[in-house]
Amino acid sequence: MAETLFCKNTETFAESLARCGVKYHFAYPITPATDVMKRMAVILPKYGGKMMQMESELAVSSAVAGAACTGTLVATSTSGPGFDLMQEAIGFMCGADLPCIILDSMRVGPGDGDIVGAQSDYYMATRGGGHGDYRVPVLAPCEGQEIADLMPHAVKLAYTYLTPVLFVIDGVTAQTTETTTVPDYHDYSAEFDVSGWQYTGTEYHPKRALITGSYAHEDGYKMNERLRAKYEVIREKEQMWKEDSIEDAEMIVVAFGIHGRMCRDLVKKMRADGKKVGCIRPVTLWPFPDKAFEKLPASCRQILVIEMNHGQMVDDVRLAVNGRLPVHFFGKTGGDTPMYTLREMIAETSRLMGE
Amino acid sequence: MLFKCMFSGSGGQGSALIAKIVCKGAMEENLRVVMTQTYGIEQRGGDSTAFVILSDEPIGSPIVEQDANVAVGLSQTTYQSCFEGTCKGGVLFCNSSLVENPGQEDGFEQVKLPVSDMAVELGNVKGANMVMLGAVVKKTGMLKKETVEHVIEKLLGAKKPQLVEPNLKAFRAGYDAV
Repeated sequence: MAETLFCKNTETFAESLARCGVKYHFAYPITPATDVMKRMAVILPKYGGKMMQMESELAVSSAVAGAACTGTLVATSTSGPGFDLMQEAIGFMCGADLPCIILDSMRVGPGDGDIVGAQSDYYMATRGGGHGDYRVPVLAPCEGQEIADLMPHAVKLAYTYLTPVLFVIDGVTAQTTETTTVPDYHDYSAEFDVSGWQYTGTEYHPKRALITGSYAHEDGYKMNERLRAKYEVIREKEQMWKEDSIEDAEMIVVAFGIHGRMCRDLVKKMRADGKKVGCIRPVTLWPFPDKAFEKLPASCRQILVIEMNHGQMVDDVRLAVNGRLPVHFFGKTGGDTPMYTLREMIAETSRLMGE
Repeated sequence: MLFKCMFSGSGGQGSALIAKIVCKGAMEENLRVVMTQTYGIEQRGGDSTAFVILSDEPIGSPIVEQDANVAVGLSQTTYQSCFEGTCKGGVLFCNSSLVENPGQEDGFEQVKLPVSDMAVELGNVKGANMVMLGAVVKKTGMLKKETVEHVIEKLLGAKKPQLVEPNLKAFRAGYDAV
């Protein structure tokens, strides 16, 4: 039954996965994502599944690809340095149309970087990650409750479009402990017919299934055209974002994840001071919610993008705004407080508004 | 209603435990709770701070950034950051047994209580955190007394039932002291 938990958001992620029908979870330990695999090891057997620790991240993503071939809902969890290493099999899964759920709990890079939270994987997450013309739907919840609320949608995306679905959660949100209501168990993947493509073994199987990410000549062209068509549908139908007080806003702040959450307070406090500020919080990072920027209110004079990095999503905002308004950027990464505080966010917003 | 709290002490003083009790109590009262903790080498003697936000509405920023309206400093070394972290109109709780020369408050209220000495009188210095928790609950009204007592019984009773009574006694002593 639905249950209110008080736990780390990494653990909420695990609970949400398990309650949405994930059967297998493969992972390799890495801060700040290890709590997901630890929790999965404990709870998955209750739902008839299993967590398995592999010897490396490439082994993890390959195991995910293998299990996905059977039509079974499978997941993994990692952080930036591990996500780098998984790209080979993720690219394969995109070419081979295989569903799965992935978590990248973002930390400071490049390289091993630092274990504190960041949003520096935006580029990698939203541009596919590996080589080739592929994309992966990317969900960016800003709090525990949104993780739980988005999970059924993530499973549906994965099976509707036969694609890996990626969650990106900054390490600060991932490590935050909070109250979250998680739903009853329901295997959302069971709502989809996978008999047309799944591997079931040779017994009783009249046809020889072929799942491949390897194509030659005209087949490679066709595969890419097929992916292109799929991504066009996703772009058109699957953009998600939240708006706060933008109807008469003179300044719109755009932020995702924890900064997006902090903007609730930013808007409330600045509105209380009579400053007309609104917020757009992208929930899907790919497809980027271009539609949120199609009809900006006439009152809007400028846009400020706030991120826990040196400016990544700001590029997509500029593409969406397409020169109609000035788009500013405010962000930092690393350090004991690896992000701008609410006070600093308000000060910068006020400064740009000329006050 | 919005309480932004920081519970600070030296590792082993139990600041994280009282933060946890507040979180569990808030859950029993159907409030929303967010907890974040500082990272560091938090073995005995190292400083430890737990930040807790309670609200009856969805919580915006999960970070307590020098805007705590309830700050608890159990030790000398953590007192200063609590002093600086208390916002206008807030309440700073100072363990006056251990904090020498507490600062002069400006714009907020300061409750100085010798919780370590009080705990020693009750039989065990380890109860200082519970004495402080009692004072915090009474002074701020953030949770009902019965709720916190129930959480103490449930949380400590599960593993070490012999600890329930002394901790309740310490909690009530703090509650009655302010």
